Amino acid sequence: MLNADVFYQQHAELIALAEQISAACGDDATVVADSDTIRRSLSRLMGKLGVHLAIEDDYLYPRLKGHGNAVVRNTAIRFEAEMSGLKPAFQSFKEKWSSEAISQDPRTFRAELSVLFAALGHRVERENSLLYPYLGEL
Amino acid sequence: VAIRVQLLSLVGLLFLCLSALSVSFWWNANGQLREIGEAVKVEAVTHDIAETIGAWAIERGVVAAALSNLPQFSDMQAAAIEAQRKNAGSRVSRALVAADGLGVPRLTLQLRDAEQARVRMIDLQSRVDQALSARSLGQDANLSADWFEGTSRAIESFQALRDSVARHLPPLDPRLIDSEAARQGIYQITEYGGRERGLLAVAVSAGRALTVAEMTALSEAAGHINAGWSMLRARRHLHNSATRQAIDVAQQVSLNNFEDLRRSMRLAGVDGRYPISAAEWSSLSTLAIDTVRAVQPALHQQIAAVLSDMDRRARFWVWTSVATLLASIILLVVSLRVILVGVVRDLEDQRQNILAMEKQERLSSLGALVAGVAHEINTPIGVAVTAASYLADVTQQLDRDYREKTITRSGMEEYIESAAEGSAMILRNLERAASLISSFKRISVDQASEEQRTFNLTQLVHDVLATLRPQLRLTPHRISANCPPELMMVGSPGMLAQIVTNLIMNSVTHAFPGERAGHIEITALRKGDVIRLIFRDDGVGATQTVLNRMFEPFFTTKRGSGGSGLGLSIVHTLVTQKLGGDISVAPADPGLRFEILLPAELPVDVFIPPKQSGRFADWRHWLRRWRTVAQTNALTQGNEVPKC
Repeated sequence: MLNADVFYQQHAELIALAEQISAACGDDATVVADSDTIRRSLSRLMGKLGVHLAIEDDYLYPRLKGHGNAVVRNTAIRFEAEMSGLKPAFQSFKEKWSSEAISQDPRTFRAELSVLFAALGHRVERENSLLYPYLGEL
Repeated sequence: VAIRVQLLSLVGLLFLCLSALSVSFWWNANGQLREIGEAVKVEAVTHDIAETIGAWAIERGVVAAALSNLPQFSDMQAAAIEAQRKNAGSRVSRALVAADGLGVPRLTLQLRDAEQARVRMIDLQSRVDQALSARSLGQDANLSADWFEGTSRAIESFQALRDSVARHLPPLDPRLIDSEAARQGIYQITEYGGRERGLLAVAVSAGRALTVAEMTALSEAAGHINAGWSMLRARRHLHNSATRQAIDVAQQVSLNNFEDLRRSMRLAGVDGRYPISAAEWSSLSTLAIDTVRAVQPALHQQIAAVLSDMDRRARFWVWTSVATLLASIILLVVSLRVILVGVVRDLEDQRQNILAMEKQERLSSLGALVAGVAHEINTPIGVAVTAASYLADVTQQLDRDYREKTITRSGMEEYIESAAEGSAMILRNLERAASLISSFKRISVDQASEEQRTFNLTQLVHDVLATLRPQLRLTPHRISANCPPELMMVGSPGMLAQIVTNLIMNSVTHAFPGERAGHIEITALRKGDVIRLIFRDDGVGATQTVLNRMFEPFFTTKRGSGGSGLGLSIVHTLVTQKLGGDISVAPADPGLRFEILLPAELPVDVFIPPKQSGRFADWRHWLRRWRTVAQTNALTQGNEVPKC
């Protein structure tokens, strides 16, 4: 049996970290001033998210897509299609936004960060409510 | 065994029937022997009577013959015959011819008697004439005087005798009466026959003739003899042809003899004497004696042969009945033994089948446990492997950046976070896998053996729930365990795990039909030396009929729907026979409530499995079980526990 609590906890930690980062990006000046800190937090978020997405994409979704229950199977397929863009988006985001890049264009960073965190929040919310209840089926 | 039992039973019944038949033959043969014994007695008596009569008749005949041989009497007879031959002969002869022509046997006999009397009368008349001449000549005065005196009385008697005979003669045939010849014949019979008898009576009376009483005795004797013959003839089993013929001959001879005697009685004189001649009596008696003597040996031989044959047959049937009776008893004993052996074997086979199916059921549940283990461990291991794989990837990427000198601070920070998160994930899942493996190991090892050890019942209940989780999570039911943390007991944890597993799966299978979500509660507590394990569900419950049969092997309400009917039977067997406890079930409101009472420290000998080699192994086991149950009852009642 898969312990869903771990995934819920990871979601909570990711959201907490994202909220922490968002709070640190209140305005452009703050972002410029704390770009190193923000980037470190963003690296922590990326490290944690990488493990989480790896487990989800490489283990969780394949197992759910092969489940005998058609509802579980279809839900997993739909979620994978919807969420598949998040991982490359984060990858390109972290490659694009180094500490220096953040200092140079804080406005754009904040805008993209907001979009990215919105996508992350949306995924977390949908997974928590619609997908994770099926983890007990594994 | 069944065919042997049936065959032996049939043979036994057959022999019993033969035995009954032999007994009936033996009884019948005995009855025949008794009848033969009676017949022999009758025959012996008859023989004695015949001998007595013969000797008596001979004696009388000798007396009569002595009288009839008087020279004077013979002379008178000769004279009388000569004098009357011409006068009476033609009329009697004509009457005799007429009677023969009419075909009246009785009258013919009477006429023949009359003819003989007439001949004798003629002879007598001749002698009377000679006597009269002699008297007139004065040759023998004494004789003449006696003779004339006697003759005068005889003539008077003759008149009376003739009237008497006429009155006592049986009624004649009307055709004969109408015949003139018959009238003449009757006259001749009465006149000459009566005269002859009267004269003979007179002559015989001087020398002690037969009296009425004597003749009656003779007649009665004849009746006894005939009755004896009739009794012999009445024995149906003597209807052997030779024997029957011998009896018929002897009886006919006697009848003929005594028929003559009765004919003589019809001519009884007025003085009560029977004028039968001594010669006739002698002839009759001699014939009777000779006949009887001639017949008796043959008759004896025949009867002896019959007796011997019947005795042999009776002995044969007696021995046959005894032999068949013994054979029947032996066969019945053998049949009963075979039946008992068959029943015992049948019960033993049934018990072995149940044990085998229970073992199969337990192995099956062990197989399900292995499958559940594999599935349950696969998930945390898979997550750990995935996390480790991810860590390997990011580590390789870091190594590449490092060697290419492109590593950045943010990349390093990201790697550190990934390593921490990934290792935490790996560690967490491997710990869970280790925990699951530990639980599964305990349960599987315990279920595979009946080893006795000290264990934590609460931990065992949780382990069981863990092993059942793959099956239970497919259901909406909730299971809660309410047990103290350190509930230690000494016993077989594998059997306890099997009991808890079966009770849970029984409720899951039967208590909650449809999509209904149920609650199963397991409570365990210790009171003194007794462990009380209460298992309750809030399902649909069961009827009293189902409750009564719930622990029977193969009883199920879901035959064909996955129910084998062995789950609760195994629970009952394990609790009562293996663990020395007791189990009861009662309706709850709602659902069912099972209560198991177990000794906290199980006596060692309860764990000894019943030996399969001995025929009485089961009995010893049942005795041991009885002792254990008695101890458990004592425990539950707070009494002192007897030591085994």
